[in-house]
Amino acid sequence: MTSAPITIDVVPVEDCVVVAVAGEVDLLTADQLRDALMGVVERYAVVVVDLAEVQFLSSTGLAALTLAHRVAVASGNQLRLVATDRVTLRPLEITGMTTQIAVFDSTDDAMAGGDRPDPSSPRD
Amino acid sequence: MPINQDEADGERPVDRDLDDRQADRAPTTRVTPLRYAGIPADARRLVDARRGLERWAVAAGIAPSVVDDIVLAGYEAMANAAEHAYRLRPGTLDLLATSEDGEVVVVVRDRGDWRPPPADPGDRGRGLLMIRSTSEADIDSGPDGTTVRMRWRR
Repeated sequence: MTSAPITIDVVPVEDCVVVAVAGEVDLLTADQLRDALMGVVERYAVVVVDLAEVQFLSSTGLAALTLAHRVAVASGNQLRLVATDRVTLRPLEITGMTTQIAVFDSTDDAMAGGDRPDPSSPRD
Repeated sequence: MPINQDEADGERPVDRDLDDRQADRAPTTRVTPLRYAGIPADARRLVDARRGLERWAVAAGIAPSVVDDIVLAGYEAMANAAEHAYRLRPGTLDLLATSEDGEVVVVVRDRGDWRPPPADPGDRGRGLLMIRSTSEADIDSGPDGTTVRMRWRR
């Protein structure tokens, strides 16, 4: 077996949606990620892409994220990332994507806000 | 194995080197070079090649953060060959990895022709940026193909 499928779970929560990705995002699987994201970025105010379970992230995967981010912004929505591991953070940082797309440590933090709320304010 | 693999090719460390090693008192881990010749430039086969490269790098005792960079840069070089040298048409590429004298070298060679980067380099620009940011890279592109040579201090 040579295929390396990725698993994508789409979990809508009111006007947010969490897209949780697991596996290796590369030339073979990036289209699957792109299609999943394109299905939601115009329809939800906040799209959280959880990359915590991603073990490999190639430039084709970054292209899918960039495209989704662009379409989300054009639709007046937001795309936020959850990345916790070097294997995902490194490609994002090298290519300067962390300066364009907000990256969070957890889906809770990502859903709580891209505005980096005042730490003293209570969080629901 | 789906791809041509001759990892066993090459010399294994042998006992005659033991005396030298003890005399030097320098830790020496030797690993047989990895040679994948004629890998079909196909997204599925590149998964195998990437995993083979990672397995080899871990076996070579390379630090995990360097292994990550080797796998990332090596894969991007192979993906570039598949996408841009052959533009997803059939073709093959070679992957060679060596680790000696404190240096890891990974070479990816194709026989296609890379298109000049478009005005918006997109994926390819990002792939090359990843190669250049994670390794010391030389890219030699000619009419007979392209060789990407990446180096790391281990």
